[in-house]
Amino acid sequence: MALENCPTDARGLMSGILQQGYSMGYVFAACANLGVGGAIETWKTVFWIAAGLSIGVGLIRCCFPESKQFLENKKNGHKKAPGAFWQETKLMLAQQWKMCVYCIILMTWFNCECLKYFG
Amino acid sequence: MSTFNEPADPIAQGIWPTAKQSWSDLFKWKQRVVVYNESGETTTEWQTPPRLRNPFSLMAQLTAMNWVFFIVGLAAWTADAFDFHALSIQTVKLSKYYKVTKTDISEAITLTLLLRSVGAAMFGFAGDKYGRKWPMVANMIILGLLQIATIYSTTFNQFLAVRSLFGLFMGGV
Repeated sequence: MALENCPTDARGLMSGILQQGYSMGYVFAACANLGVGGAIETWKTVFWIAAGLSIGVGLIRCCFPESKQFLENKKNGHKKAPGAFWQETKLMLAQQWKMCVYCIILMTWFNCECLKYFG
Repeated sequence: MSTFNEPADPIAQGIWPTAKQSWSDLFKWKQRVVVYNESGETTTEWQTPPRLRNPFSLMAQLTAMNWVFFIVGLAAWTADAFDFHALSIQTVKLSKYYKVTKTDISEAITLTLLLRSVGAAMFGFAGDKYGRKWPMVANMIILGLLQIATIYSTTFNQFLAVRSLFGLFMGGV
């Protein structure tokens, strides 16, 4: 959604920046954790902040319209029924299962390497 | 661009030929591209990769509305990561609070991540079926409510259950 509006040329760059949201969340959580101090009950404060953030973003999202791409697709009657999706998935698994297994192993390995340091 | 490109060998089939071809292509500047012409035939040719662009001129291509959507998306992702790491960074406090070991607390992280993939698939469907807006709104609000539920879970089992549900909805973001 955040990216399907972007011009195609800029999409690669913007998706890279979007991923930093995860790191930003981690940094903010770390700041909050430092901010509340080390007492046991303080974890609740951080969770309250987290809840406020999530609900806040949800409410902000209410103020903006639905994705144009989605509305156009719907208008054109181009509905991808879940059935069609499953058929495509089955076809993909039948033809490219080796590639799928490879990708899963690759991503698992990447994530392990990354989370070893980053948590 | 209608410049003439040098023809290339077609994309290899099978594991070993693909591996060999990809490895050798890795050291070539030009890219092997399959081109479809009007009559549906395919040819393979070498294309020069597009020039790298200045990130600022790329960013300038986004309209104000594009930026709004991008920033809302970024904020959602940030809030989501905050919720998740609120747990992982406070394992020590939580283990003291529930009087369990830190390993037990990290079990909650495992459950969250396990159900995250399930949630991603479910909300992926919802996004295609009901649009990008309302599933997202519902998702963020439920995430917030689950954070509050975590605060009020008195036993460790409740805590684990809430965190699993949280994973389900975290996948949706």
